[in-house]
Parts: sequence; structure tokens; C-alpha cells
Amino acid sequence: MPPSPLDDRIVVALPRPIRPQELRLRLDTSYLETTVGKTTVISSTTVVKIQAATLSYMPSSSGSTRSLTCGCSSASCCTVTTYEKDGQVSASSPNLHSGSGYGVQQGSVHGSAPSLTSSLTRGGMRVIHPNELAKKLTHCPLGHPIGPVPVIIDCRPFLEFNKSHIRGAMHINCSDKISRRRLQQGKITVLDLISCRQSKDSFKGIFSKELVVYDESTVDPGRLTPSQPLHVVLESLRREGKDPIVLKGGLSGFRQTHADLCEHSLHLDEGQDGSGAMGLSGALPHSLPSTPDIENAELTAVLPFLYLGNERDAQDLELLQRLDIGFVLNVTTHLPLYHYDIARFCYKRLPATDSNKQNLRQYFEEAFEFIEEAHQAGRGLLIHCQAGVSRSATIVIAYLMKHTWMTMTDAYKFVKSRRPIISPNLNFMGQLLEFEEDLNNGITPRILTPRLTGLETLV
Amino acid sequence: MTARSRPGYFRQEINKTIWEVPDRYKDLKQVGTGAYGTVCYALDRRTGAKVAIKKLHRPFQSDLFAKRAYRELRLLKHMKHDNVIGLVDVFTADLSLDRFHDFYLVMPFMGTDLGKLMKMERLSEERVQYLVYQMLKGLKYIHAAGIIHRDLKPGNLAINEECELKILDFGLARQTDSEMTGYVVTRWYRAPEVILSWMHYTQTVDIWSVGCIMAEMLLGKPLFKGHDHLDQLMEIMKVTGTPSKEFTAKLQSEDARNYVTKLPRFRKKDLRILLPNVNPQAIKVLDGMLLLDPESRITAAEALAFPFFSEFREPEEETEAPPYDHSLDEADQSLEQWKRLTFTEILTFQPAPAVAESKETAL
Repeated sequence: MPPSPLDDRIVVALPRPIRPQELRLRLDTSYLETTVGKTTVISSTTVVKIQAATLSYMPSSSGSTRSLTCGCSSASCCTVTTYEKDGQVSASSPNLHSGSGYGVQQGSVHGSAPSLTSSLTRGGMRVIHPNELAKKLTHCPLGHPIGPVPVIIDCRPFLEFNKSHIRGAMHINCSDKISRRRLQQGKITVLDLISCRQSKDSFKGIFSKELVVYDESTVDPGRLTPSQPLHVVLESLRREGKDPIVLKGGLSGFRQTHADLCEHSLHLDEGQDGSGAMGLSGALPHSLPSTPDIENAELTAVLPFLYLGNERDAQDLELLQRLDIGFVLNVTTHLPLYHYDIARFCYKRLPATDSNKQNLRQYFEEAFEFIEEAHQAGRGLLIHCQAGVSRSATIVIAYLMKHTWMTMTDAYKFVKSRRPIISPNLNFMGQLLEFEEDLNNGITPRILTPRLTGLETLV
Repeated sequence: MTARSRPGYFRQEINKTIWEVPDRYKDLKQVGTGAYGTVCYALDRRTGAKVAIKKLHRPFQSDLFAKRAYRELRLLKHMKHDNVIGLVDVFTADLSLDRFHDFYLVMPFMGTDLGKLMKMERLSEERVQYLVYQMLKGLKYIHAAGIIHRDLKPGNLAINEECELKILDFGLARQTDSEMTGYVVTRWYRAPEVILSWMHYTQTVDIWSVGCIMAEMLLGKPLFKGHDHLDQLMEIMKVTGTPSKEFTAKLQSEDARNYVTKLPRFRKKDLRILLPNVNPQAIKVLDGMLLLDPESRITAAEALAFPFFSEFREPEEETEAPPYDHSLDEADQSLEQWKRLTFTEILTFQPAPAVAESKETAL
């Protein structure tokens, strides 16, 4: 693509503010002799000679650009920048016929004009170097802004944008295939993909601002493949009549020397769980309820002598001995009677499954008698099933209903307050409800236990 | 066991676990661990892609473990859809059946999951459309195979940088052991019939979960946030209203029926009140999903046709999986038989044909 005449511009820093009609330029062509093969377009025949004394050469840290200054003491004040273009140096200036250009000049203390300071790279894409973008984002020590700050667009995935991005950049959701396809088809514009409402509003009013676009690390936009997010965005912006500039080296290049101008709004753990649901290391994801961990539940003393637990508790001989537990009530069909061989415990098995077909109520009286037996012997009793959540919990609730004035709701809350993981299945809840009716109607006698007197007032 | 690695494999200790993997994979780094096993992130030299390698924890320590390992492998091999996690590779360093004791599952590495994404970003409506559309596409596929997920939740929906979604851990939540019904930790996305301990689920248990997830994406917080399954049921009924007599009559357990009929009365709530400022088209989808009676809920295939998804709809991508033969992994087999079956499945694995796709990363 041949360079557009619009790209061949001159920027001049003037010592004092000048009204547009007084701006009369003449190019000192001897200064531009080094631009081999370059043709100069003269915008006006009325000229004044630029005094060489007001200009000086200042190399930039990157060594790839040269700057002209007006001679102010501040190095970053009133900087006018040139860029490499196919190995040559070029300068650019506003179109003298641009009304908005004149308007901006009037507002400038130093009379510097806003500029589309960029150069063409192979493939016709304009690029800007990290250092030059950094200067635009930084005010000079005297607090003078140098023209408007450009609009900056980040094309990287949203998660990456959250980790780090250039200050003031707005994110567009273009990393997924569906968005890119719709951009390519012209169904939507870049504006539609801006994810932040505030950014969306500011994007609408950027007619007079430069547009800088970046991705992770693109150095040469001419080598982008059509499916890449940056390429799709650039094409879409040009189709919308805009003239985007690519940040050379992307965020990676920029961050190397200007980390202070990057925002790190979110610090994600490295090595995220690649399989999503696998592994619960660290804090529980918010999608899990904050109930206590069933697998790590510890033995619960519901009453001073009545312990509610799981299979692991039943296996823990040291624990049973320490708590002076002499009776074990096993409410499963399959878990063994642990430590049966050492003949230290009295056992009772109530074979039950945690299912909607199990009639657990048939075992209530049998269980109560066994608990009473332990009570009389002055020993502790462990009642357990697989996890101490449903079957064994149901029997404990029923025991409290039978031997105190607690209602079903009271007994449930009492046990739950001590062992939050309990959760009898609905079938068992229905049986407890029926049990309560029978207790209230006298069909099943309530036997108040003196040692448990007043327990219902604790709920 | 010989100390030397199998040719073409290398050995590496990662967090006290010995990994023996093909030279094809490099940069192994542990990203997850649990009772099921361990997962490492790795780079596939052959394709340049990121992968997750899962090493099962002692898969043949019992016939129950062996059965689960076999089932997981078969299910993953069966799944070949963009929105369902599938196998990139499966391998074992063991050269023969008699030495066979470990195997590794290789899957695409997904950067995050929906749960994490919702934590950091309020999703735009367009993004909700795209993500839910993908969930439904994936569900249509696995439901066609006769598979029910049973445990859909945001953490089981993996998402990559491209905003592509894959359903994870499907079919593994099957409750073959009825004694486990009370122990499930994640309840917020469970269908009411699961809480009510129905023995015969249909695929619409997953549709209920999608409805809960979609509402959460739009609302910014879980819709039904019960702290145990009884409270969960109450939270649901406050929205759906108390069940009808026809519904209650379907409960197999008379005791459960008894309990439900004595619950306080609730009137059905209008979802438009619960979800203000939400597109009416989205409300229509949720209305079709969050129905108490599972037989009244829309199917995944029906949901795909709703106007809410029309912007992203590609009917040719809404494929169906071939039927999955459950009888093979429901049969009773000995440990050695499960082992042999698993070994055979590993040897017969064929990777999906590699499509020449341009890399997304800049050179």
C-alpha cells in the first residue's frame, strides 16, 4: 500500500502561542535531506524559516527515535517525536486544513499541535513504541499535558486483562471465537465488545483522540494471521473509519520498562486447577456451601454420655477409651463392629440403609433401650453410621423427642447446633414427624428422663 | 519393578508422587489433588497445546475402585464434543497386564471454571447467552447417550480463554450406593427430586441445575442457597410454590410424602420479580427450566431453540452422542477382570484426527 499523503506531516514546536491564521510554514528542505526517496508535499506556499537555534537533537532511551524540543529545561516538555519508518526517519504534522487541529492549538500554552505521531510499518499498519506511549501517559514535571491521552484498547483474554494491563486501557471481549467471527462478519462493532460501561461511553467520544491497540506481545502487526484477535480488531476498527495504532511488543514489551504504568487489579494463583472441579485445595470456591466438611467431622457429644460420630470415630480405639465409651450402636448394614475382638465394648447393630425405602422407626425403641442401658452403666455410648449425618442423627433426634419435652423441630435444632452436618433424608424426617404425632397423642409413651430435665429450654 | 523408565518415557517426582509420562509432555506442574488422584498441568510438545494430566490414586486397590476407574475412562473415551471434556490421550508406563498398576488421563487444560469466573466478573447478558448455549449443547450431546450428569455446578463447567465451555465430571456422580444420598456437599444446584430422594431420575435433573446456574449468572448470587437439604427444599418451594397433590403422589416414600404435605404453604413467585432488569427472553428460559415437576421441564434440545440463544445458535453443532452401553460398567466383575478391561481400553484408544488449525498465539 502506498503511503497516504495524510501521513506525511510536519510537527513544529513554537516558542509562543500563535493564532491559526498567523501560522505560516516553510520547510527547510536541507534538514530532511536524509530521507532518501521521500517526496515532500508542501501544504502552503507562504512560509517562514525555522530558526535552527531553537531545535536540538535528543536521543531517546530506546535509541530508535529522535526528539525535537523547543529548548525548555524539562526533557519531557513539548516533545515532538519522530519514528522509524523502513529504517528512515520521518516527521508528521497535522493537516493544515483540519479545523479541529487549529482549535487544539489555541488551547496549548506552548502552541504545540496534537499529532497522530506514528509511522507506517510493512503491511501499512501504524505502530507506536512503548517509550512513546509511556510519555503520553506521563505528565511533564511542570504538569503540562501533551495533547489528549490516547484511547488504549486491550485485546487480550479477560483473565489476562484482570491480572495486568496498561493504566487507563479498556478491555474488549474479543478473545473468544464467536466474538471474532461476529466482528469479521460485520454483525457487531468494537464498541459492542467493550465490557465496561464507563469505557463504552468514553469510546464513543474519541473522534479527536489517537487509538492505540495492543495484545500480549505482537511486534510486527503485518505478520498477524487473520484469525488472531488483534488482527480482527484492527480490521474492524478500520472498517468503522478509525485509524488505529499498534503498540509494538504488546503488553509484554511495555511492561518490561514501564511496569509502573501497568495496573495489577487482580492477583490470581498460578497454576489454576485445570479441571475445574478437581481438587479443593485452598479456600473453598464460592459455589460450595459453607457447611462444615463432612469428611473431616469430629466426634460430637450431643449429651454428656451420648456421642454421635462416623466410621472413622468407631475405628479410633484410643478415642473411645479416652472418652470412656463402653457401648457402640452401629446403624449400618455393612460396617464391621470395630474392636469386637478385644471384648471391651457392648455392641448393637441396627441394619439400616440411608435410603427412601428404609423404615428406621422400627428400630427406635430398641435403640433407646440400648442407650438407656449405657446410661445406667455410667458409660459413654457412640452411635454411628457411615458419616454420622443421616441414620445415626435420626435416632439421636428421636431419643431426645422421647425423653424430653422437645418437639421434632427442637430436637433437630439441638443436634444441629452441636453437629452442623446432620441432614436426615426426607424419608427419615417423615418418620420423625409421625413419631412426634404418636408421642403427642399418647400412642407412644413419652418417658421423661430425670437427668435430661430442662434440656428442652436450651433450644 | 525395574528402576529404569520405559523407552520414550521419563520419570519425575511431583509432591511425593512418582509420575512416569511420555517424553511428549513437558513442564509438569501440579494444579490439583484430592481423594480421586492428582492433576498436573503440562505442555504437549506434539501439538503445542496445554493439557491436564490426571493420575488416578491407586485405581486397582479394590474392585470398587477398579470399576470406577474403568467407568471414568470409558465415559471420557465416549465423549467427542466441543462442550464436553474428552480425552486427548491416555497412557500407562506399564508394559504388560500383569505389571499394570497405574494409568494417566490426558485432557485439554482449561484456564478456569464458571465459579471462579463469576467471582471476578459480572457477566454481560451476551456472555450469559453464549455460555448457557454451550452448556445446553453439551447436555444435549450427553443426554442423547443416555448419560445424566447429576452434579452440574459452576465448578464443573470449565472455561478457557476463548470463553469456550466444557462440562466436566459427568456421570461420575451416579449414586450407585444408595447410602450416599445424604452426603453430597453441593446442594444449591440439585433438583428437588434429588433432594426428595426419588429413585428414578430423568435427564431433566441437569436442566434444573442449568436453570440455577443461569439465574446465578444473571443475578450475581446463587438463587437457592440452602444450608442443608431440608433448607434447600424450603428455599426452592418459596419460589416454585408448594407441590401439587399430583406431584406429591409421585413420591415413592410415604414418609417423605407425609413430611412434604405438612410443610408450610407457599405461593409460586414470579421470576420477573426475583430477577428484575433481566431480558424477558431469559426469563422464559428459566421459567421452562425451574419447574418443580421434572416431567414438565424443557429438555436441552428444546431449550436450544429459545430466542434467547438465537444470536449464537449453530444448529449443525448441536449434535447427539451415540448411545452409551451402561451394562458394561454396571456388571459385577472381579478386580482382575476390571483391570484387564481397563488395560484393553487404554490400548485401543485412538486420538481424534488432528485438524490443521492456525495457532492463536502471535509468533
